[in-house]
Amino acid sequence: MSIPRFLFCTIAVFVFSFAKGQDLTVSYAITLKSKKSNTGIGETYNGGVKTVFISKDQIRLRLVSLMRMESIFIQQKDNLSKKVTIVKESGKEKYKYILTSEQWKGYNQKYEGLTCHLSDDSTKLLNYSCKKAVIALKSGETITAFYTPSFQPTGLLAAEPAFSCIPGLVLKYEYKYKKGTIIYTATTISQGPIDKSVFSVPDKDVTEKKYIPGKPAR
Amino acid sequence: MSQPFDILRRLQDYELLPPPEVVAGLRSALTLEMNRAQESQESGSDGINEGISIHTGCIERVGQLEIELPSFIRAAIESRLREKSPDKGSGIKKIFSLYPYRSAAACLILLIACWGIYRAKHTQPAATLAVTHKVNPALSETKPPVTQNQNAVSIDSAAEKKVAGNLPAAENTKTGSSGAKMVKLKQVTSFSIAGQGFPVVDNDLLVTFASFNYGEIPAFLFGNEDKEVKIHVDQYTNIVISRAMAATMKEMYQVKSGGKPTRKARKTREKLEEWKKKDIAHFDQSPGSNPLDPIDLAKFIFK
Repeated sequence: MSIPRFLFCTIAVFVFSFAKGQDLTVSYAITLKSKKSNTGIGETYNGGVKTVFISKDQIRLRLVSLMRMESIFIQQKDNLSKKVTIVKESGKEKYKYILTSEQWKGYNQKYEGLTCHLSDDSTKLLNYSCKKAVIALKSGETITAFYTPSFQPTGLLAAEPAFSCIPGLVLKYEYKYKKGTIIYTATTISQGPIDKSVFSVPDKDVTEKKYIPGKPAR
Repeated sequence: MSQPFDILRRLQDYELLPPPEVVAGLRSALTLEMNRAQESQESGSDGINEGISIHTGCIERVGQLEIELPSFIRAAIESRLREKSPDKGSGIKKIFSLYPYRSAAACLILLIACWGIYRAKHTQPAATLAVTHKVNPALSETKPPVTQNQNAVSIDSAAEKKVAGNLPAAENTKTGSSGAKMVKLKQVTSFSIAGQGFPVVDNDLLVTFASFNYGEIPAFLFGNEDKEVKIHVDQYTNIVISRAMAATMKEMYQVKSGGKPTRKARKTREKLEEWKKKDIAHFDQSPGSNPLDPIDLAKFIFK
């Protein structure tokens, strides 16, 4: 192979590897706002962290808080089917549920038929200019979100159906219920490569339970 | 001397009939010259050379006579010329062949630029950690030696149950590649507060905070001031114990003068146990509620 051809091929490989889809990791800090200075049991979730890991067709949501550590693993098989595993990683008795696409859809039934109202209000989060969106559910509840159009994480839609109408990556969202508000604020965004082990569903000492919607776990 | 005659022979291949008036003129001129040459020959002068020079002059004048070639002949000549000089390629190939060293240098510079951009993009985690510092300042990044605890201890009013110590140190979970930092997670077996490491009991952070041996209680539980406490769990998880929760935890470790826990301490522990049961009943026993969902979690907390 001549030198120019070799150089051309090397450059093509570099550009291709650079241009392919990048992994994405976003961490959100959970904070509670309330008129009361002490929300009781809420304080065990206040200050927790929810992390989203996205790599090609695999997603993991992980919650770490004083009260519990739990993950949802989603493996997107194709546009229609996916495998969802919910794993409770904390406590003496760890367990997991495996849900089909239909069951996952039922699990997130409250987000069906939601609508988004995008506004021109904006703010800056992690140096990204973010626009405001109000997500309205069929039940009348609303979630206020701030998103950046700099990222289009299509893989995240499977894991966060609440953001299915948002044209970008949500960096902050909050939900107000009765006298309190729960706020998720992104603290880090990373596009570094994610090791495959992050998406491995833990097996050791984890009991598989059968998921039956609406019924207590067995 | 023979050269003019070779040209003539080659020209014969491309023979074209000249215009009739030219032919007539040429004939008359040649006839005149020939006659002159004959006369000079007969007179014995040096007419041969004169004849040859006159003859050559005619040939030169013929050479100056221009006739436009028919297009098919021009095309044939050009194609013959092209065959003889091989095509050196067009565009990039031509440039590479004409300027090999400059082309190689340009490719190398482009390669280095691409590599630099790739490195810059894939070392982002270092920058995002700086952002983390912005949001959660004063978080220590040092990794003290950590220990693992395999013993099962639950929240119990009998705080005399000890957390086993002096266990083998766990490996550092952070990958240390010189390039982009790979995101890796391991089971949470330890955490650190202000550089001080603690093992996790029962895979449960709340149980851990309720299970400290009185000789190993973290410093923040002794302070008078109620303030937030930052816990470093792993690369992407730095949780915060709120002021209210820190105050609750301090109450758990209040002791009387005799060293026994106070009534308030016992009540606080009972309260934490109740919270634990409530949480399990809501999220573990009825799987329809998702603690990772903001709506489900908010409804559980603020009901």
